[in-house]
Amino acid sequence: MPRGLDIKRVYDEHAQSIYAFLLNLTRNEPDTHDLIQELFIKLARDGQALANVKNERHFLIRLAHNAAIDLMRRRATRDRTREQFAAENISQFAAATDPDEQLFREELAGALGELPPDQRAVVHLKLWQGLTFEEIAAILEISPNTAASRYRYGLDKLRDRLRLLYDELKSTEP
Amino acid sequence: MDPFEQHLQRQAPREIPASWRDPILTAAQVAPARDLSLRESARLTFRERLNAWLWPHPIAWSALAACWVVILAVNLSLHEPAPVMAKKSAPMAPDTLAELKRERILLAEVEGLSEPPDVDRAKKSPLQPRTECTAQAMV
Repeated sequence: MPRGLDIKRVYDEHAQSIYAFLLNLTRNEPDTHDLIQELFIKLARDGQALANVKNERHFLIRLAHNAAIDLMRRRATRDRTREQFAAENISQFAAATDPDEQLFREELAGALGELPPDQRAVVHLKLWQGLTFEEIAAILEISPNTAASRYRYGLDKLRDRLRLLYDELKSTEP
Repeated sequence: MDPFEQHLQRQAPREIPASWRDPILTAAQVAPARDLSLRESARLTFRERLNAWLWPHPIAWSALAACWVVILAVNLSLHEPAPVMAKKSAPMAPDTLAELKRERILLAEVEGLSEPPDVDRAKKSPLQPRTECTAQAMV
């Protein structure tokens, strides 16, 4: 392996974030595994890939996003639409002990799956990676306004879909 | 962020399976070494490749080559020139051609045709415009 890159450190620090992002985007665990492996092989081949990078995680998520988009395009050319790609209802959330909360997570996973991949990516980066719209825009190579509008559209759809369940959850809280 | 967004944010994502770590890291560490060996093998000369290919059983390859030489020698020694199937016929003499033509006309008459074949008639007719031919036919 080229010198200058501690691949184990990079994995331990960032693999969880990349996994959550890719699982949300691809909705498919084997694809997520392949993409992560492909990403780390690329990093290992080019030992200087992270040498001049300001924010490793943002850079890695950007690479992961590009790889996922490539995969989705390849799938689309094989008569598999993006909607079908996203329809695999895999939960990207950890199991909850509370049954109501578990139901909410399952519904949330389903609702996220119905979002277009562009909106899903922005919603994930905003809510679960805690990034600003400027950071999201830099990662996804879009303008901050586009990132903000995609987030708003996506969030509105989630709100509509989960409103009843959310209200019910809130009403039962002590 | 409103309460709904905060509630979404509290939903913990799944953990990456621990079983993925070692295979992914191994694949990542092996890939550059494999690339290096591929690059080195691409640099091998033709002679080195041939040696590497033939080296495991040189006697077997030599025996096989000898067998082929024997087969080739036997095949060449038994080889006979192929018989000539047909020779190009010489052109017919003018007398023979005239005789043949007469026989053809006779055959046509026997079969009920009073006139010789169209081919000969066409040759006899003088060259003239088609309109004149039609006028003659009408007269």
